Amino acid sequence: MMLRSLSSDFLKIRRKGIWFLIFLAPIGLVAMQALNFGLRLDYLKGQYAGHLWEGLIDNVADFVPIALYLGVTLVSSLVANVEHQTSSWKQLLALPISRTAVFSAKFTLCFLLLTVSCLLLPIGTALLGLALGFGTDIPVETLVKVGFLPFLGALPLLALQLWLSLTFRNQSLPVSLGVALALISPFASQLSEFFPLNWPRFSYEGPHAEWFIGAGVVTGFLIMFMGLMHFNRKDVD
Amino acid sequence: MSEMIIQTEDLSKKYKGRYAVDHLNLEIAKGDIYGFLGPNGAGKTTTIRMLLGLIQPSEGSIRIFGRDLRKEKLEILRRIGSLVEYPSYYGHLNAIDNLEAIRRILGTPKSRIDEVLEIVSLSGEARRPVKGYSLGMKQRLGIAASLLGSPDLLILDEPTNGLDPAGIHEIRELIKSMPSQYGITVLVSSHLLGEVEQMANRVGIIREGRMVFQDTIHNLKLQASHDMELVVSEPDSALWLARDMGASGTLKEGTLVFPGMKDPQVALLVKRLVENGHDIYRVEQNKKSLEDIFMQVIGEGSRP
Repeated sequence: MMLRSLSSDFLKIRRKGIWFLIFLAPIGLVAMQALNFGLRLDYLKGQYAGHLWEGLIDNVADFVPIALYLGVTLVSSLVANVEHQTSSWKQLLALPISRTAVFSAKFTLCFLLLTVSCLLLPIGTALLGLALGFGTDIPVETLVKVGFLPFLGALPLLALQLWLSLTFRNQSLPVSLGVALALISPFASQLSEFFPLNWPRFSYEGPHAEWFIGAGVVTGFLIMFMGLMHFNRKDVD
Repeated sequence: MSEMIIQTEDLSKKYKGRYAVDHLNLEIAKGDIYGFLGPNGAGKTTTIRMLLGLIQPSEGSIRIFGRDLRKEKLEILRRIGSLVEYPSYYGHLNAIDNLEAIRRILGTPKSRIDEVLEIVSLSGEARRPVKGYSLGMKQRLGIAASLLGSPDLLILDEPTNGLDPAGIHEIRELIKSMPSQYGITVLVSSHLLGEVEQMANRVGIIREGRMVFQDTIHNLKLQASHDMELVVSEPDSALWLARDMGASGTLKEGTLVFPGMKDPQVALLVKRLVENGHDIYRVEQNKKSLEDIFMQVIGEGSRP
């Protein structure tokens, strides 16, 4: 039943600009580094001599958490807004489908869309590295890690943002909150690594990334479960 | 009594201590076109949302197709098509994609989309984005969506709201054809009796969340009290004569008006008047329009 709802959701997000956003984010990050390395290639090559690929990936990684926060916020809001816009909730939820299926389908949709972004980022980074002449000795494992591990650390925010976006018809609250969190996230690195906004960063780097990956996945599912409980019970106007 | 499709028992919904729907007992039989009437804010939409499981009742129970809505919600919803207030649609998609989005959830065959578009005569416009549709077309698309799952029960909330006369006529004809052509029972809400009268066979009238009348349209008309008007040569003394025999009337511009007078009483009064030498010029019944009946029923309901 969830798959049926999911297939319906994929149809509904057509021509809504969501796919554009999904492609824009990773391409934008890679383009930024293309500019960075393009402008001062000789200097950076000197800096990262002997580990050119790692230097490039580290530069990309610095911007992954903030991009994830923005992406999670916007994708959740856009997905929820498809139903809010013409108050389709009453039509959708009067269909013979459980609310659990509807909610899980929305979550899965957001997860899959963001996974596409996370897949495009390593591919784009690899292409940039090749274009800059860093050689064909591509560190595939590190690339895949930079694409996906921060995402796992950001799952709690995805669950929270989707919950808020589905609950409030007016999207200004969830979007403001998400953007605010994204903007303060770089400064959160001053705080303890256990501060939730730091989880995406430390899921990728640091001595015990697995702690933060685990925390992200577990907390993400806990929040999703709470959102689901609430969604199952609430009255639909 | 024929098979009950919808039956509610003491169905209530409380918002902040105030009853929006107050111990409502709906009874809708198979094959009915049931007109659900009441002024704006009487609780019609709240009731309908409860019937569709969109909001939880505070008290009472709902049985649809003889099953408990709380326990077998999905099985029941599978057999219901609904349109709640203004139409829901995905404006950026065309009519076919709108229906496809619903069809994927229902799992009905693809051919059903063409069939329902045909029923609401939207086949010609099916490939345009829905945001460019007129309100009437959007409403028809909503009805097409509600028919997609080949339902046994159609629940339509104010389906003609905001439509022009031609649109209202079209929707009305469509609704009227449902029981005969497709064997579908229909619950249609409205705040206009005149509109429901032309399609419904049974009506339920609610006011402030309470049911004040539930019966056939025919009985509704019978229930209405008619005024009997008499024009006689000497109205003043005729009025005294009538009061003597227990008929309380009033004198209005030379016309005697007796509200709700029954036939035997009329006959007796006329006889007495003739015996007492009055000239009777006219005896007529002042037929109330349906709208008057509606106001009368609603007015009665407001008394404590």
